[in-house]
Amino acid sequence: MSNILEAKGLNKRYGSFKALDNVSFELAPGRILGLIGPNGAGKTTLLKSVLGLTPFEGELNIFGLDPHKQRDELMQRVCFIADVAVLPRWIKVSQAIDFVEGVHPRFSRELCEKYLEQTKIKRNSRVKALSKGMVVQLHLALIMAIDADLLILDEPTLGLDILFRKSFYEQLLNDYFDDNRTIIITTHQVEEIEHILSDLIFIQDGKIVLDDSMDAIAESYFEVMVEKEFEEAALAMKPMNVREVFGQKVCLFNGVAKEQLQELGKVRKPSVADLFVAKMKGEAA
Amino acid sequence: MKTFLTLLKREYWENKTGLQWVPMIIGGIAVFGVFLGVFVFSTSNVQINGVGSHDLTSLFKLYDVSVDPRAKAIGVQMGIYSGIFSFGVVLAIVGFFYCLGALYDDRKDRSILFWKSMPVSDSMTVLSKVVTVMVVAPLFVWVILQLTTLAIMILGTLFAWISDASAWHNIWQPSNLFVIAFYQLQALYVATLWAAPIIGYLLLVSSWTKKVPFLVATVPVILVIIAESIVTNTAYVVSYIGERFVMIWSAYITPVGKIAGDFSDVIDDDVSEFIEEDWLPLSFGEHLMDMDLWFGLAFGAVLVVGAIMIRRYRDEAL
Repeated sequence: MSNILEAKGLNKRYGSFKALDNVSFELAPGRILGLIGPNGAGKTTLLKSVLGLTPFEGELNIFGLDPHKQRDELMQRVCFIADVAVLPRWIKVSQAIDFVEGVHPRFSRELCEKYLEQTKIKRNSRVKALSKGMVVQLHLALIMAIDADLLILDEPTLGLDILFRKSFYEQLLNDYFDDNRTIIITTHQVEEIEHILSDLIFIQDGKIVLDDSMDAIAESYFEVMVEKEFEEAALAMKPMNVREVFGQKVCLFNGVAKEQLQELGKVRKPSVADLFVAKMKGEAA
Repeated sequence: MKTFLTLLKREYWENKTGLQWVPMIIGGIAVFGVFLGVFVFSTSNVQINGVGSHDLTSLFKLYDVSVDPRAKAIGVQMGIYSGIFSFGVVLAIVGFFYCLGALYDDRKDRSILFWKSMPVSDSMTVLSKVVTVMVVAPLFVWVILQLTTLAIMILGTLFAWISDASAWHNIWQPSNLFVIAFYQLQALYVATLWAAPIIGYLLLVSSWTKKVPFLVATVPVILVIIAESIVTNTAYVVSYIGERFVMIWSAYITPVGKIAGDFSDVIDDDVSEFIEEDWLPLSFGEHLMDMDLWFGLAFGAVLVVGAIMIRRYRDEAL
């Protein structure tokens, strides 16, 4: 299947600071991409470039469109939620629904009402009277009721409690996602989304340091709880990262056969968070 | 079309106070003032030229029987028309602050990220704001002005009944209501056309500024005017701005000239001479044929395009 998004050699500078440094990646339809990186790594700049909100150098096309020049066409197919609750404070819930219905040909009022029924949000409240969590719920209900081909979520659950975050991701996966849709998510809470991701990109200092499918990652990255007697042997195999858990060394390997590692100790799949830490350390060193 | 109407609705929702409540409050105050004047104080005695003592109802009765119908008509028509002046000021103030906030408030509270996530082009967004301030706002003001006029005329009718005078002959018949209402509508829109470059300028500042649009819009203009007078000893900027206000004023007094012209037979000779000479304002036709008005519109359009470009292509959306 052809890619819906192709980026080649993206660069973006703010003065002497390189927010994006030769970034290239591709994304096929029906994937859920997690874009992970520390603060100031360039995640938001990358998403803004994709959304046509900021100019950039290099080649970028989404559904064959240049996001900066053809932003209006692009927005017919792409939806996004920026990092914090940005619904206008003066608007009433019912007005927000009327507005999206009035301007978005792919919006379904029934679907939006269905999502809102699961919340305590009243139709005649103004956004400024809602709690932060409710504002996000409303925003998500509005956006998820749009039949978009690409949904971009930049820290969608920032500042929300764990119960809500869980139910949001479940809803996203069960009610919203299907084979024709593609989702890009950035978040700090990697552990909460790793089970729904199909692809992973790590970004640091404006550079992509890892870009793979979750399946490929599961086949090439292993974490070993090394038995005491094999410690030296394990370290000789140049693990990406070593950390200690209860006095036992946990080594992260890339591209070493699983069978070979099983001789050293118990092998398991590394969590995205561990992988992230290892990668970030490695790049910094 | 549906999108554009939705955008206009959006502007109405956000700016209900300025577009609707402020003119309604002004209208309400006017109606209340008339109410106080004719009903609450009508029982107290009024002295005219120190001679005699009458209450207002008997004065009205006197007016009813003694004043020439043509003179009554010009009084009523001028009175009704003059409502436009306070509402014109309201429109100017509401429009000024509306324009300053139009492309700034949503950047300040970051809700621009929500608006920009919708399939609406920046041109359409900015145009919806231009249409709101140049078409919708004058229309709201006009409708509320008409309601105010009607309410006052109804009060007048009640008063006429109390005074045992004919409301029809004293108020409704001489009012020429539809023509006066149409004059008011024309005056509002012609004045708005003259304001086009100011509207364009304010929208440009609103789109561009990172903070306090009010100061950013006003202080540089004052500085430029001062600098111009010192450096080149000229006053082009201030006279351009001044000319706009003169022409806006001129648009509002155009119907006054028309009404006066209709009644030249009952106006005192010295007054009518005055009117026939320089005082007579331009007609609306002359306004529309004034090249300065069209240059101003073109200039305003250029500034609006600038506002669109800034909103569309600025590096940081906010």
